[in-house]
Amino acid sequence: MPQALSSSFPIGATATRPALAGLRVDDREAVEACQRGEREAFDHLVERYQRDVYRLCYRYVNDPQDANDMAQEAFLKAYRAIGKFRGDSSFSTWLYRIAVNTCLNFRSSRRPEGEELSDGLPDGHVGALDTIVADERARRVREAVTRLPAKQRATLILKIYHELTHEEVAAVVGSSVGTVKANLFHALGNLRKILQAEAAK
Amino acid sequence: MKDALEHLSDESLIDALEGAPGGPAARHLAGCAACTARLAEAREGLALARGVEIPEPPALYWQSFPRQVAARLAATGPSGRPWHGWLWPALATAVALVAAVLFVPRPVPEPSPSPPRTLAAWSALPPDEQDPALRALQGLGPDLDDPALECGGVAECIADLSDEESQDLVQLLRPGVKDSSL
Repeated sequence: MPQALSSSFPIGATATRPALAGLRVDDREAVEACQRGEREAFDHLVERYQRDVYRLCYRYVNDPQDANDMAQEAFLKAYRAIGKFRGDSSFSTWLYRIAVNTCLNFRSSRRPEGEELSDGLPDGHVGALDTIVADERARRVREAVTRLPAKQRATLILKIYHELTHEEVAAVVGSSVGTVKANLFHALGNLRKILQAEAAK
Repeated sequence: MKDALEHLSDESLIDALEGAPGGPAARHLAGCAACTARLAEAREGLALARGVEIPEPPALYWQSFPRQVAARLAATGPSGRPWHGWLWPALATAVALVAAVLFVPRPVPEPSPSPPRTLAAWSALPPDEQDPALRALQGLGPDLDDPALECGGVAECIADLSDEESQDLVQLLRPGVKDSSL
């Protein structure tokens, strides 16, 4: 009996899905204000979506400084393009699309591509062995995610950690639902292979 | 029989992973070890991926982030390039000047006979016959013609001098002329 994926996908404590239905009116008002040239209205959108965009970027590069740069860049691009936003999709989907494109095009100036990632163990969590083990496991998984092919990586992050539907992921990455599912399937398989290879070393 | 021969697509396996396999897919999985194995691998990958948190930035970070974005927005224009308020007026002025030079018709001066080459500044000096420096200067021309001189000779060079240069030359020559006349 296949395990239900919907119940398996975590509602990540660090990834709050934008409440599209509840915030849609607010988003529209802020977007319209921005389109009238009221730049301050964009601050509200930044405050509302900064966590989602930052976490998406962090998942993509596994580096806080690069994630910060990418998230800022994504918001700058969004502001410059907001005059073209017509509401064909939700603002969050549109913003995710910009963030994903920023991730896809990002080249870190600090860490050359393919270089071994630095140890990302956070401070203040070294008291208990099980915490260390859990943190180390999480670090390895985050690192393995960054080694997935670009679109598989984006699909896995959006689907598993940001809990978007297949249709929403398709809208963000600009592909069909079938392609999203195929990318997700390969991403899961490749993630398993990467981690197995790491464990075998 | 057909279900067993045609393996499930990646898309169908994701549907199965999500718990929504259709009847044919479920029947296929029940009898196909290969697809069951692929599904198990995907499920294992999902188990590895899920629940992995990222380090949470300090609370102050979320307060400073909007300010950083706002500062960068303020420093850039709508195009995204650094905004220099002076740039567009300066460019507009430059374009207008170029257009004026190129396209505004200018009155063509009527040709006039070129005035005789005179050393106008000399009019401010004593009359020719009373100025020994002038006489000496005028006398130098024929004697000092040099083919290397670009102006074609001393006489012509002297004629080409500006008023100010002529006065300077006269002032330079005057003491020598006075000495020689003593």
